[in-house]
Amino acid sequence: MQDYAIDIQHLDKSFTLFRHTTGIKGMVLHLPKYIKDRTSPRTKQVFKDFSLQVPAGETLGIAGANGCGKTTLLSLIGKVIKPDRGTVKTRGRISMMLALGAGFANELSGRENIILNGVLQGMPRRKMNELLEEIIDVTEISGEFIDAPIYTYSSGMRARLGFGVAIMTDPDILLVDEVLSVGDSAFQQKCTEMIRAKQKKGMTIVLVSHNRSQLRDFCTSLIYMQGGQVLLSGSPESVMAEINNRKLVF
Amino acid sequence: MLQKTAIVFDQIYVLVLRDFKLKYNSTALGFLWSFLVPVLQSLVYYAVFNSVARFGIRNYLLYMLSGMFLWYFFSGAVTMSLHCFPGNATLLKKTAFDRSLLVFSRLLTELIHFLLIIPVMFLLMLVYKIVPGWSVLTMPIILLEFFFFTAGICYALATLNVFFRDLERIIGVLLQAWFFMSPIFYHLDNLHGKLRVLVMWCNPISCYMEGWRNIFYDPVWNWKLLAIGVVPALLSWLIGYGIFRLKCDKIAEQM
Repeated sequence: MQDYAIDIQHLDKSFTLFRHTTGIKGMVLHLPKYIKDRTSPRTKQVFKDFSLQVPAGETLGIAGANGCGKTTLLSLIGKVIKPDRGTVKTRGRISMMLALGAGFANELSGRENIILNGVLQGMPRRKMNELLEEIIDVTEISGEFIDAPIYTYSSGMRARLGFGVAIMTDPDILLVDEVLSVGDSAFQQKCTEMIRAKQKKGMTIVLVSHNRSQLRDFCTSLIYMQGGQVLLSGSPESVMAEINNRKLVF
Repeated sequence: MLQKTAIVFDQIYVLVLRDFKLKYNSTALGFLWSFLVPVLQSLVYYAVFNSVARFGIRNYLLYMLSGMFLWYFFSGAVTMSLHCFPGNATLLKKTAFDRSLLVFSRLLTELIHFLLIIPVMFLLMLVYKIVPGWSVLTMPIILLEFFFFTAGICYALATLNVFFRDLERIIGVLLQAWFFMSPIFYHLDNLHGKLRVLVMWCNPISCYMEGWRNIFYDPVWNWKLLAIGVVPALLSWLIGYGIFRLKCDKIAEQM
């Protein structure tokens, strides 16, 4: 039995789709349709019997067209949503780094959000207080902004705040969704270096990206998803080559 | 295990801290409001019912305030509970902490406000020259009962409001009806016949309010009220928290 950091077995997940007939008006005017809507709600099956294992210490890249289930997969690994059937087993603390500022409270300052976010992701408060200054250093958010409510922040600043918390709290598993492309080149450079350092230390990373060079640079293995299934998997080079071959949407 | 519990405590702490900050965000008087609003409200009712329709209750202002503070804890918690999940959509979608903490921290925030008002109640007793009795000792029990009664309702409403946003519209009216059905500005003895039975036996808040007044308004020791109060508290908690447990996995998806 190999040592998996993430082990997904026979996962099923579907979402209830938007209902066309809602409220009393819909009920009165379109009764047959309304009843059909309620009795057999239209669902979209995103995953059916999906299995995936990520060995500890690996960096898995996920590529695929919009709507193929990449973000849903990250949410399932991050336990934000629950599978309908099947299991998602993970080992250790998970940190999510999602586009447009992971769960922040708009009215609180950057400093307060760092603590809030870290603690909600399972870090002890004492530890977060110790890490606070280091994290602020990493985010490079200046003194006048770090104590201002984060609705005053630019999207780049939010992304940096999210990155700072996620990387400095040293999770066992880091889930990254399309964030590394935010921020200026200097900051991207810094992100790259820090992620490399964490890779060396054995952090397991799942990286969703549309950026080929990023996927090639970071990942130890790559999967290409289509319609909720793994279409291709293997080393980044071989998967990339196959994507080009088949002219798949990236 | 111990470490996990410690982290849950930390999470509650940061959430309560946040609720406090958000509650008084850009207000000049801050915490004073949670004291001032019930007082001002009481003064309005005092003015109306002392001149238009008298109920003949002695120490009327003290009587009303003791009920009003209790009511404001309840109505405040219920109103806040509706926004627990929709107001934290980004957190819910991106962090996997225990969802029940969002409701619990709000409840705790309201409770802390309520507890801070208790010294004021003792001051008022002093003003009205009422000597506290042994019934003061029943305070933790009544608080616990009332807290669980309120918590059950809040958990149910917070969860249901995710799936039926209609609740937000109707709850204000329902709260108002409940307010008038509670012995806040009138006395149970003012009611007769069916109405009295209804308010006394169908509204659990009456029971807690009577118990509360047995501490601050008319110190008497009443075991019966304490015992009766356990029933609605347990029922409310079990049903409310049960509804939450049943649906909690689906909350983030609905955001």
